[in-house]
Amino acid sequence: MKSKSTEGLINHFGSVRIRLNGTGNLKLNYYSLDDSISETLVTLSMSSAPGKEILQLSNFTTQRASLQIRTTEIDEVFKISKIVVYAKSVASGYPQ
Amino acid sequence: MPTRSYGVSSLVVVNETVISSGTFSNAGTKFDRFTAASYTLGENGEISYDAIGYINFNLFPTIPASASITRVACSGVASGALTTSGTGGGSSVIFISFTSYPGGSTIEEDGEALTIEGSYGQSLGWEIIYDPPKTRAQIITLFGSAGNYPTSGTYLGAALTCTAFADIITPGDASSNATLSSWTFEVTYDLENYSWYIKPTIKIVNGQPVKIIEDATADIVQVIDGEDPPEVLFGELPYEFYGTGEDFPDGPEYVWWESVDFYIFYIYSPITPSVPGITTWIPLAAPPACVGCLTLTLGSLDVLAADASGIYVLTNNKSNDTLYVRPDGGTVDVKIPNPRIRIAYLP
Repeated sequence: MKSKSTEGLINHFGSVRIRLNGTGNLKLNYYSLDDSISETLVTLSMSSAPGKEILQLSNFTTQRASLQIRTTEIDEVFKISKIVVYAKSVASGYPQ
Repeated sequence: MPTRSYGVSSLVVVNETVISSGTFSNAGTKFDRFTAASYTLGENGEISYDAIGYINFNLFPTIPASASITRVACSGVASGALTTSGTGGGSSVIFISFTSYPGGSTIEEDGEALTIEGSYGQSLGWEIIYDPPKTRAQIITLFGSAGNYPTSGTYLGAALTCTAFADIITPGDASSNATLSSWTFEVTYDLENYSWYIKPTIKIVNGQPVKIIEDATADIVQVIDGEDPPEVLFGELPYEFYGTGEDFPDGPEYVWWESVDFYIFYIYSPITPSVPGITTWIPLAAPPACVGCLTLTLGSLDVLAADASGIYVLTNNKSNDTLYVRPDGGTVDVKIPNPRIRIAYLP
């Protein structure tokens, strides 16, 4: 079967699942190409032993997205061993 | 995915920035009232409160020229035979009422100018100077009283500006070096905007004690090096007073800093200023106290790595950075500047 290229498609980034241990609050942001648009996700409250992978919803539509993860306060620590980004193509391109 | 976190230990650290700054904004008319059981008139218009050893109002030079003195009261002097009270109509007008003519008063003439001055009961000296001067004929016309003397209950009106209020109670005159009982002074004035800043001109290490002094010859707030502890010098305070077009005369009397503690200075203010970021205002209750004196906590200094040595130690699992403070050798833990990761673009 002929493969379909996903190059340039418009994607909806609906959630991210993270294997996360830590203390403090974790800040997550999506950025588009050139950081022209972004979205701030709901801050995650970290636990040293959460006992589960955390699924965080998002609503970000762009061609390609980069996820930034950070802390901003003293003595906050995070350890991430897996990140799964869920996205779905919703359009083939922007209007000309 | 293996992870590893590091903190950094480094040498430090001085402060080269504005320590604190802000703006007082208190638009509108303010009302103030100073009372005490007993005051003794001192030199240069000061009111010294000898009962507690020290209080320095410096009211007269610090009242804005735009102020309106609405009431000057003095009661309980010489068994109450003499009272001064009244209200001032309009601006810069003072009225004093005598229930009986103050004995011992004299009228002094200097050319066409005329001054009434005198004393009562060996306890209160007073003087009224007309500005512009009035002649004897004008005084007679003004009061319409035989012997050129005001009758009982007559108001003596003196067109004086607020800053000339000291002329009513003459400092330095033997007759006015007397005790007033139950003395009350009320004044309304406008205080609109006041800005200030503290900016050291040398480096101050966070936590380092300094001595704050006042020097009227300095035109900025500065830190004098070579002293132990360093001295923070306050000269003509960098304030501006808007609204009337006039500065407060003798600003340092109105707002001054006097403390050996770097973090505290006193602001002589009848009102609680609104300073962004400053929330702790403590009215002083004990000497050296004065009505309206407040303390202001500057807060902690921002520490910048302006003098970092470049010697760093990476420490596994350390969740903060440690800065070594010179010259004391202490340390302070600060946050790692927003540690972050960012994944590649998807898809």
